[in-house]
Amino acid sequence: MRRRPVLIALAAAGAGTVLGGCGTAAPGADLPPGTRDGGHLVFATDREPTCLDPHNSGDMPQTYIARQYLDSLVSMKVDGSVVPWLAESWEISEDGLLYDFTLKPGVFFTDGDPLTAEAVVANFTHIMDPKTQSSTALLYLSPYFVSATALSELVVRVELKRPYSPLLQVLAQAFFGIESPRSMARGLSENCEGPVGTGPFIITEWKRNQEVVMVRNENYNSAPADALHQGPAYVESLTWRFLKDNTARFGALQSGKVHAIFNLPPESVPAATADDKITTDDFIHSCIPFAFDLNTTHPALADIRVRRALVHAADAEGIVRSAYAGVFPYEGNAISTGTPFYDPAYSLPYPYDEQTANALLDDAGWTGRDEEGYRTKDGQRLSLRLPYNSDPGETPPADQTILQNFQAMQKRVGVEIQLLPKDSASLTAIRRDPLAFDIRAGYWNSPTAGVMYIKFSQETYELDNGQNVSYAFDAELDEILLDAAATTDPDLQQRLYSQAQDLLTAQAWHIPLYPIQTRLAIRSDLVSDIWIEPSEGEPVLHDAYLNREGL
Amino acid sequence: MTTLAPPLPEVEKPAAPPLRTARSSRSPLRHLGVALPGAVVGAVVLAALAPGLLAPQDPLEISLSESFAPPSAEHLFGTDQSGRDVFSRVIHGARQSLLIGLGATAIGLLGAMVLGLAGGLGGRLADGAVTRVIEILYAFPGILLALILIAVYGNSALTQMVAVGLATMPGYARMVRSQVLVVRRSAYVEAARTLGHPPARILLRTLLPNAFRPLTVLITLGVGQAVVWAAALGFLGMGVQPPTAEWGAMLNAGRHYIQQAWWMDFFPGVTIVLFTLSLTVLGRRLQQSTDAGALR
Repeated sequence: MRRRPVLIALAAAGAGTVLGGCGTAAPGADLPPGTRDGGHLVFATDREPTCLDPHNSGDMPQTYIARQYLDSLVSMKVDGSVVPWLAESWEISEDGLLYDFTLKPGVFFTDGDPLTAEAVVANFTHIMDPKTQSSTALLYLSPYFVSATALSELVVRVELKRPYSPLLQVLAQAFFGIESPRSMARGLSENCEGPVGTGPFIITEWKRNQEVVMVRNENYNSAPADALHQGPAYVESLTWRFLKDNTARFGALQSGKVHAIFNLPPESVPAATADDKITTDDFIHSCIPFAFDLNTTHPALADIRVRRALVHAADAEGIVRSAYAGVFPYEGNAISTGTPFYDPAYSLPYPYDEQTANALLDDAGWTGRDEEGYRTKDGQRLSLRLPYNSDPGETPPADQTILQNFQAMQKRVGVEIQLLPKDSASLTAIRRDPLAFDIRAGYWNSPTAGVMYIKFSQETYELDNGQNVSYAFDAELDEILLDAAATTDPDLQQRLYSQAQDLLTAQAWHIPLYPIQTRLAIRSDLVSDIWIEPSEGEPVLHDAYLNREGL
Repeated sequence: MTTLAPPLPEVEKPAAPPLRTARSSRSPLRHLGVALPGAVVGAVVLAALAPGLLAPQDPLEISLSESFAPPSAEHLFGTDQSGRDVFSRVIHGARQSLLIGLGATAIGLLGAMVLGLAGGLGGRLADGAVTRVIEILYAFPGILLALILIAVYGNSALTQMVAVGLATMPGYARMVRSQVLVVRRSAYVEAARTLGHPPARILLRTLLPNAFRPLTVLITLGVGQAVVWAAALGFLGMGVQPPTAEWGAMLNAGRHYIQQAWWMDFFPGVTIVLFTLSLTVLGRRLQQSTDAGALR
């Protein structure tokens, strides 16, 4: 497993340059020297969550922001180990079915209620409740979860129906952030506006399409064991701004209007590198890479020869290189290099080979050609619909390039790809309708290789919640992945997860393209100690402080 | 883009522009002033009719190893992020732009004709109604009107044409109405009426052609304006979708890479400017010559 360094401990490089050069009054620059305390931090990101409660739905923008106001039971480190957070210790039974978490005493939610075992139980209940409409957190738990019970004021027991070795890493994600029971009881829509946790910041206002404003939790005493400091956040307030346009977001950073941005656009990397006031930090997620999922309910895609032909014809490595200008690496394996038990043997499974692609398509019976040069069979054109999100900021320019490149490459072997721009609402509406699309582009972040089970199992297929987009499963794969989750022996896990990668590569249910990254660009002359946690690549702002003269 | 309505010359303005002297109209500069824009418009029309003649490559053909190649002998305008030839794309984009420009102007004129005739001939009540409709249409910012239509009816060349056409309609309609009002009281219409010609014949043979003549100038200017509008919609992502070659969409795709590949925006941008500028110059010339002709 290879990971890049995550922590950017930035010494206040050139203290005298704090105000130099940029000519803008950076927020917080007027604070007295010699203290880390105070100031207003502005962080800009590309995508806006639909709900601030990460138990609901489960899209990445939710987890990134939720990290700032919710604490989880445990925290994950870069090496995959887990350290205390809200749970100061835990015990796992021999059979791996019982987890007893002992909570930190004296922790309070920001609505004043104490953190108790009952409150944690309410969180598990909330995630499992269909009314919460969880599509991420629920998927992690449902194959394993039996119950959560309060054994005492501060001890919670989680009972599983089968062993689940990555459970602790899973619980480290902000998707499992612990919320106040009173906050959750308000109902989904109200809780979405401003969930209440024990975290370092408190939401004060969500201005839609603009920003979420937060203030510091002055009583914060529950930072994770791997935080850079304990106690309240350094900055007094935090603005989480949505700047969907890549150029505008990077421009705001260059001009010093924001201190740091999420998702440095690949096209701005040269400018960021050339600017000595800007530092970048990349983190490759543990994930199923951004990939084209092939919907096997389509008669053509049900045929493994056609699926393999598509991968051979795609030149996935070339289209990623062209779109991301070498900034994002290509990843051909079912899981990313950042994922535990990644096996490099499957990193380039289907080399670009037009001849093989043509032969496979011929073999599959797509031998006719229509007047536009597309392949046909029984008078039907081999035409596949690929809807994508055309709302501003949702499909970045580089991903649009990937879509167009994919379309052009497939045309060379006579396969028509119809790129269908859709708004977010229409895309959500067709999420569970296998008849509405043939190919979907997407990714799945997860701290565990068990993500393969989430994406490609019979259980997820039957849950029909729009996650098994290939509508495909394999009994052997299910068994391998469940066995891997059941053991704690790393050698056995490696063997089983390698088998799973082998099987998934052979099936070609998806065409992996590039691993998801958290890419931060930071004005290192203005702010220090923003770091990325590794379970979901969430940016952590609790330790961040504004640089000032004399520090 | 600042305003939707094509620049309208005052219809009933009393004074015509001063007559050109014989000397100035024969000067070589003046010929160049017509020949150059004429050549640009001619080239664009040719590109729209037969792009294959001019474009060296398929506008959609990608070449992954050649992305972001600067302008060279092989790629006159360089290549884009997928290695597509920008020159070929600009040429193929002409058809889309011209189609929308002409289509939108036609739709705008047709609607304007109906409104203008109804207002000019339909009596006081109808005229009042028409004037209100025109005012309401005018009150809407054109781009908003176009965006609403596209949001409701989806993205297609036809929707774009209708959207831009509707947005340009009030300008033409006001013009047609005032022309009809002038022409219907003219001596030749009076004469036709006295001769006992049926109203339909007067309308089609006498009134319409005379009311329409000043519009020819406006049409030339209007097509250029509509092309800019179509490109604006393409730039906003509301026009035809990439990878289809369209000038506005090319500008939009290129803006993300402006720091590393200026040619992706420069050449489509210059093409839009040159084409609309040429149409405007030709339109003005046409206007001057018809004004002059009218005085003779």
